[in-house]
Amino acid sequence: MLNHEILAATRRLNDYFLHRDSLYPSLEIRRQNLQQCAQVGSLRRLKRQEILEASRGRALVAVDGSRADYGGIYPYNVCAIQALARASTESEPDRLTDAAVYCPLDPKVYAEIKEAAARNRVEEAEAYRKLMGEKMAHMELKLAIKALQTIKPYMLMLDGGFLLFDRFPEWDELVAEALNLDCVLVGVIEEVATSELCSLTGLEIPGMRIYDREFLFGLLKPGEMAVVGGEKAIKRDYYTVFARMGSTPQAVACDFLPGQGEHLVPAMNLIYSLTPPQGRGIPAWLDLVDREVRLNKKSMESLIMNGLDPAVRERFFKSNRERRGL
Amino acid sequence: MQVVGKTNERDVWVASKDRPFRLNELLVVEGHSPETAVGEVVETYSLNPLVPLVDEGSPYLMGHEIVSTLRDFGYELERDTVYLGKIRVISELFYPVKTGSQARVPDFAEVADLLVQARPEQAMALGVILGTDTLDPTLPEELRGLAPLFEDGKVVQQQGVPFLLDYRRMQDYPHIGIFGGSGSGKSFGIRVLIEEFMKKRLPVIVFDPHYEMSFSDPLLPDLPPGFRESFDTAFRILTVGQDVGVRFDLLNEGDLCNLLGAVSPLSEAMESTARAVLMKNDSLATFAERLDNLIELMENNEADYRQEFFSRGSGPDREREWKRLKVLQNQVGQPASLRAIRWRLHSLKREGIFNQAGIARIEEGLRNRQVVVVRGSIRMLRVYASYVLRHLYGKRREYRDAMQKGQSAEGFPPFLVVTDEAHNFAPKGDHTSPSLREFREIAQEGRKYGVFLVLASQRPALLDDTINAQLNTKIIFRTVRSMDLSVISEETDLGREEIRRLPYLPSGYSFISSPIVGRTVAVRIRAAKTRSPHQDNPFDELAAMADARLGEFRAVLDKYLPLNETYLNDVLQELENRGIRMTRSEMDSLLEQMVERGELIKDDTSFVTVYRPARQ
Repeated sequence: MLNHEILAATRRLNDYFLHRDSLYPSLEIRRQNLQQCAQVGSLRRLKRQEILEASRGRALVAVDGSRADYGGIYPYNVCAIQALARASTESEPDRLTDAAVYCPLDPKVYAEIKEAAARNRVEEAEAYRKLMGEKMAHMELKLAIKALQTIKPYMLMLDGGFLLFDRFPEWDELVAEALNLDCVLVGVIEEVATSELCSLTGLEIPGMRIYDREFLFGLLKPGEMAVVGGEKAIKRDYYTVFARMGSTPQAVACDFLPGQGEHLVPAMNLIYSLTPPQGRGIPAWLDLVDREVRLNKKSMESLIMNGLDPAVRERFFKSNRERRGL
Repeated sequence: MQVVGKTNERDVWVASKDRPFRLNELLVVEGHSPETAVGEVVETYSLNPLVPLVDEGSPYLMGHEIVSTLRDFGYELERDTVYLGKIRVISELFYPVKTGSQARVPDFAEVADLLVQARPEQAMALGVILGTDTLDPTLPEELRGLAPLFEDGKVVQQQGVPFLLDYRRMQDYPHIGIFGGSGSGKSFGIRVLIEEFMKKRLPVIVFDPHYEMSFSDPLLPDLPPGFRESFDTAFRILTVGQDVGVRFDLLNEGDLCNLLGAVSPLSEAMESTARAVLMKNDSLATFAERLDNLIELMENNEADYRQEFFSRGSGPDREREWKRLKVLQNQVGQPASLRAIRWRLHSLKREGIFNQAGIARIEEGLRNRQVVVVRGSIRMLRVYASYVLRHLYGKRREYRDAMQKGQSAEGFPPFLVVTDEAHNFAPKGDHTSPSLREFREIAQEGRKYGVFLVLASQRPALLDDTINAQLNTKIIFRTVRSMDLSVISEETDLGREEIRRLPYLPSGYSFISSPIVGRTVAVRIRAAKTRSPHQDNPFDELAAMADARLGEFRAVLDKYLPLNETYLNDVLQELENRGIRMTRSEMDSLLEQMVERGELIKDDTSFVTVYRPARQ
């Protein structure tokens, strides 16, 4: 059944977007804007020999986490988190894992939620959601340090930008370890959600906040990257590389440490070599780890079925919504 | 290897990260109460999360370049391959297999009871159980070397557990069916079975419409020493009409009617006529003459015919015969019945079925515990089998019944009946088939008397249902026709997976479904020790024949080269002197062939054609 009111509202929204699009400067001007603050360059797929020389037999490690919820609305909810660091080589171990389960009804967890809600002045439910995200990033971070120490890879890919991780005390340890082992640390950002790049270029449209996502959409050609960093860094002092590695017009971003500037181009070329040309532009190894770690609804449910008594499940976690018959 | 997913007490999935599963291999699932569970792999899969499924719209296809870049970082795609096997539990469980339990390859001793039910000396070694290679290292010595296999034109060592069928248990589960299309290895299967019968010195009668059941030639000239075996004293070949037949003077009325009916069904009138005309101690000649006379009598004026009858001979015997004819004339209503009997009789006579030798040599062979191969055309054998079986089976039954009643009787051994093309002997839906009754009777109650059937057919769907249902043990080779497949699926305990594999079984591979074994076992039939005389490829034979002819011709021609066309007749003459008959056109064709092969050069530049040797 089509709701005509909703349809009409959606069409009005669409008109706005068309209008917004018309306010944009042309592609050429946007490229000029970009070139003022970023170094635009081409990526190149590496030859076998180059890869072997750079890696010298060391592994590629990707760290990724996944979380899944079960239950009704806050606080009757269970959150499972797991993280995986996987090495490309057959090193022993080639996988490091960690996992945890949280529930707001657990007094220890609740104390943390309450504290975070007060600190950030948000509701408890919102605080809980954010807290779980942080717990996962924290877990990934700790796993990354462990992976650095035991696997000593050539490159370690984190799923997400550095800003996600550098709030934790262990971040400095990770950075020190990476510099010490000469391991390239990369934070791969799938969804660019910043607006800093755009403001850096000086592009302004009155009355409208422009996000980097739309600014970059279609701006880079396939196999092109734009590097910002040094004095013009947009996130602390990190290098951030926007790149279009796949066929989709949307760019992804990669964060690099300020101390690893010299590795940036070869590392980006390697990441590009690992990215399927037809696709969303994410390096295959990260996708692979993502796939392995992913907690889907079905597996979460079977974990709950196995782990919780049916009585507990019914009393605390089964939402009334689930009992709907219609 | 770990049990995964939802389980029950029969079908279980097992997953492994590093080891592919093998069809038919046995696995033990650990940690089971009260004991470990043993299962057989019936389906195998391998899947890789990075290689998309064919029906998944390819969400993630890793290109060759990416794969090779990852390989440079030490990653092999295969590392993420997962192997899945579906296992059918053989052990009798009353609870589901525990999901998550570990599975492993067993030692032979752990699964011995499930695989081997008989000691080798008491059983027939028909082949090797598929998927048991992994048990080979722990196989006891006494089970080795029983079933070498035929591979790439050579006999190779048995690898795995032999399939042993305890023939003594046919007492409980009688009769064997062997089914499979042409080229499926069915003929080899029959041969191996008969070889095993010979080794055990069982009395067997084989009806051989293909003239292929001879056991004199070894499979290969250089068989391994322990494997070679001579069966020369264990079998005899008899041809109907030559070595064996029907003795007319021993026929009773019933036998006669059966034989006549085998040619073409008899009506009631014909049957009572035949019974009436046959006299005790009749020979074929006297019976045939009486028939002729009676027809003459009924179709002519009696007084005229009487004169003619006595003009051919006289005396008291002649008088008695005349009286008989007169009596018969009243008994037999119509000369048509007589004519019907006469043509049937002549048909049998032409086939050569009436022979003074009778079935004595068959009986003798069975008493000597030999395999008696009876050869003849399929038409003839259908008639003859019915006669022979009735007599042999009758003798065996009389003997057993007499023993039961505590009377004395002439002993007659239990025996087996083997035939290929069984659907010709016992066809479905054709009740007029001459041998159907005998085969049915043996199928239904032969067990009581120790008479067993081994029936082979390409078309189980065409075999009589009653008989099919009585074939307790079935050896099934590659079968393609859907009708046959559905009969097999109804008549055996073959599962869906096995039925699905049937059309693709390689030659010599079979499923053996038998209550003697208790379950369906996939078996690769062992190498036969002997070969059929028809095993040569007819096309090789054709080439050999042509080569031989050309060789003969070449030997003569050589002396005449270079050969002027006008002297061709001299060559023909010389050939004839040597006893080689050749026509001019055959010689022309041979000369052309030699020119084509480059052996001769045909020179027709001058007035006459001259054939010269290519090399001087």
